[in-house]
Amino acid sequence: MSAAVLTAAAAGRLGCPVCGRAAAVASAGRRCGRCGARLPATGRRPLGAVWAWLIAGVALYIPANLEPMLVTTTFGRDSASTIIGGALELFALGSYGVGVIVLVASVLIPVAKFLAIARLAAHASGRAPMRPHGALALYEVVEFIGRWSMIDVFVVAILAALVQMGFLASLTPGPAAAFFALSVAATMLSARAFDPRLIWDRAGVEHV
Amino acid sequence: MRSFSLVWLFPLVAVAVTLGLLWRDYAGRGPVIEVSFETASGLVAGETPLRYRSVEVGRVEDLRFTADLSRVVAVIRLDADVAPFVDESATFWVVRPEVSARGVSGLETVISGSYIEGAWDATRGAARRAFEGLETPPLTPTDTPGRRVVLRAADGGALTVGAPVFYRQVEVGRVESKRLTAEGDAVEFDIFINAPNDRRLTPETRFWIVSGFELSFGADGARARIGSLSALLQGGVAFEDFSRGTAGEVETGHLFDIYASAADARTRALEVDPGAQLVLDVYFGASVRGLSVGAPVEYEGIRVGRVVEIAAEIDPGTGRFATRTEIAIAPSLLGLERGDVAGAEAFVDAAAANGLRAQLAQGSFITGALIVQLIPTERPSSEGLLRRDDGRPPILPSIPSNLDEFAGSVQGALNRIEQLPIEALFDNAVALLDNVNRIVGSEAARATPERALAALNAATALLSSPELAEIPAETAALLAALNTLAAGPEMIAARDDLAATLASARAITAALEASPLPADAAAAAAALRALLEDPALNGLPASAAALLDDPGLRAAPGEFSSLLASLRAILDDPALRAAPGEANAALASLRALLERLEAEDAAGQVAAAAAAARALLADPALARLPSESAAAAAALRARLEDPALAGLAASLAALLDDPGLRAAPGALAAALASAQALLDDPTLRTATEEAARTLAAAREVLERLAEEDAAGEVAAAAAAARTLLEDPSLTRLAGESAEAAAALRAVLAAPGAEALPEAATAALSSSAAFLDRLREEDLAGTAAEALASLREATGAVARAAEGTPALVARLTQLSARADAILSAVDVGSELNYETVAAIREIRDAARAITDLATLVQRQPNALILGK
Repeated sequence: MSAAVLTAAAAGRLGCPVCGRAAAVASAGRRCGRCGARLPATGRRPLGAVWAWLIAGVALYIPANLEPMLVTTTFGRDSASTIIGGALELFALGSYGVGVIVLVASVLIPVAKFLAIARLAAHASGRAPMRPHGALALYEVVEFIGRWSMIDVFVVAILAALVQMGFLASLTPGPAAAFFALSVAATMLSARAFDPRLIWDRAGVEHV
Repeated sequence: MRSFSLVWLFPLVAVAVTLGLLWRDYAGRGPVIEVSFETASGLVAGETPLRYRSVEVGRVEDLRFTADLSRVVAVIRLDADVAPFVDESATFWVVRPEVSARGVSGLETVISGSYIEGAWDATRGAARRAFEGLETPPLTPTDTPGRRVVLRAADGGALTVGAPVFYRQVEVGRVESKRLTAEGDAVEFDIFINAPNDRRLTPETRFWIVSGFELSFGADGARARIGSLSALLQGGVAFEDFSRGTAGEVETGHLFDIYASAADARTRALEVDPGAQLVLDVYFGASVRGLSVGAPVEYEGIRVGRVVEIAAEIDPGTGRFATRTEIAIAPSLLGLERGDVAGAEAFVDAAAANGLRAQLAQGSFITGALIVQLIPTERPSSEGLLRRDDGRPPILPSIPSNLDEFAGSVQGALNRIEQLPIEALFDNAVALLDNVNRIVGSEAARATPERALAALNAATALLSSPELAEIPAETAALLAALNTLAAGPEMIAARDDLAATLASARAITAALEASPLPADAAAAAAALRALLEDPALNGLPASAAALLDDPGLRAAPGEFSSLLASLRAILDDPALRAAPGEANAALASLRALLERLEAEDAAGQVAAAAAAARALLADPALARLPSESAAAAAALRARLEDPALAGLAASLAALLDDPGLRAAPGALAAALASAQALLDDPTLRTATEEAARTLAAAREVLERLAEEDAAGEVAAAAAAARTLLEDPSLTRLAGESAEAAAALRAVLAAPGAEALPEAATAALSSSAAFLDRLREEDLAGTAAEALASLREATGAVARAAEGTPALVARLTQLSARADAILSAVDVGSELNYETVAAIREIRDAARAITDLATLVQRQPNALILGK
């Protein structure tokens, strides 16, 4: 691939983000003549949605870490633990593996996702350009890992469903679970809102 | 741009939510307070909640130590909404599971874990951040309506914290805490009375201990009451206002005394606080041991106050030691207005002036507790109470108590009891009982020999009296006098005369032989034999036996003892002791009489009389005697054959059965007594003289007879007598007599005869009984009468003696006849046999009596049992 690549933008065309039908750049803002979807201005999904979802995810991630994730009721004794508190408890109990998993799944990955999406968005906006292939790889990692981000919520949901032994012991999802789920969902939406072609748009500008 | 804005709603919402949450957390965070506890048991940092009315209003955030490690500090984050109320009133304690008498509390914390409970009132106050937690939960929440008061008791044993407070058996409060007073002289209890009931508290309210179990003894029996289990385990306190409706608010923290029981509380209800009492000092000049603070002060038996202090004092002036007793008198108990101390003082002052004094008295004999008594005395003092200037209470004079005397007398009594020879007394009692036992066992058997011995001793004393010893001498003298008399020449002449008389008698005997007298006599003997063989006579011993078997006679041994005693009394009688002397005198008199007879030539008289007798025997009239004797014998035979004589035996038997027979010995005794009197009687001397004259007259008669050829007659008579004496029948009579004597000897040698003396002894005893009875029956009077009659008889004898010559003639005739009869009577061996048989019967009877006596001696109760 060389500089000879002609991009749609360069050709004054833009594609429908839904059905791919090419349309004139002038028709941006109007609807696609085939599928009826609204045609973005640039022919790319706007980067603002990414930022928006990302900010929402980060915002939701704060209470997700402050509020208790899981309320354990053993013999009537409530024991509420936040995500990090629970991980530290696991470490304190000697369950380092589980602690690491919890930390990775609940802290490292979401934070990494936030950073990765922000990096991609920054790249796409042209403020912090990076190599397009690296950005693509990063995007693919975020896409791949995004589906596993709900592992915490899944664990909490499964545990809450399983450990319902009445007075003896019961687990109740804390408010953090909901925040965490929302946060994950927001980051997923953020990642979804990111148009990978933007990577190449910038790359095209540079390389073309 | 529309879509752009729409997408951006999400982060806006998310940020808003997050910020909202953060704000909520921040805004909800109240201040941090620090509560220190002894231990952090059950507290977990970050988990243990702080609750107010079971609502979580905070959480322990941290646990740490105080700087000196003495306590644990729980750092608690309060909720902001309650923070303004957590002020000075706030108290904190840890709720832990607790099992107590009141029940189980904090059970939920067994599982859920302990928590900190906070309590504060509903008013906002100045914020306070450091608190000291309570180690035990307060029983009453701080803001519970009600009233806290303080009870004071001597010791804390009666109540435990948490014990219920009852009002009319309804639980209205709790004992919250107990503590020693600062002085350590009492225990104070904080109690809380719940709201509606705290109005029952008045200043006059009395509190008393109620134990769950109450046991009381009264006139209506024992009564047990079991209260609530709670009260049983931890006691309780009840209160009531015994005063007469006094109202009044009680402030929180009012101090009440606790009484031991409801009765105590009721009794002391009338006692008011010390301030309103008349306080007096009393100096008892004696030990106040037994007197205690609180001891009652009584005035005429009514409690008017109590002892409030007992102290020692040394008078600085004199250096004397004194016991000061401070008493408090309640005006209300004197019947005055409550608190009228001045009135009470005026009254006591006046009463003291009139002699009222304090005195220690015994309150309880068992415990020895003393009380103070106010008693009026008869020594008025002009000044009344002794007031002092130094502000100390006035002095009420005292008088010494009589406790010491009382105690002394009690002690003396105890000592005397102690000194009683109880052991010796018991020994004596045992011995006495033994003796009684022995006596009851065989009273008569033991008493009889002893009394018999005493009687014998008396008899021995009697026999060994010198007067009795003189009797033989007197008798010897008498015999000598008789010998002299007999050896006189007149006697020899008399002997000659007697020979002549015997010759005459022989002639008469010869005449008798010619007559059928012997045959008649034989017939008379046969009749006598028939008489003796009469069944009635045979029944005589049976009657005697019956007599002996008579219950009355059987009762006689019972009287044996008294009889012997009577005998002894008689023997001990001075009169009887004088008897030997009397006998001696009598013998002397007799001897004098004989000597007089001798002096008056009695022998000559006798000789003359013998001559006269000889003449008499030679009288032809005497020759007629045999035939008349024969006729008399026939008459005798006829009399013997008379059926009336046969009835005589039966009569005799009846006579033996006759009670009157018993009187005979008495009469005999009286007669003997009379006889003695008679011997001493002057009339006897007269009689002697009369006899002498009679003999003289007889001599004259005989001399007259002698003049009528008496000598020849006497000789003939002597010859007759000799003939008579030479008669073989007379010889046979002697033989028979010898045989009879032998039989008698055999009888006497018979075993039964040996028993005779004993029987005789028994008979003598009976005689003694008779004598005793006779003595009772005015023997002296009887004897006097007999004596009087005897004197008359003596006089009659004297008079009759004048007619004696004729009598002598008749006697002569009679003796001649008797002589003839005796010579003619063939004394049958059958008569002898009958006599022996009779003697045997008598012996048997005597033996029966002896047996009876022996039986009685061995078994005195046989008389009672009747066998």
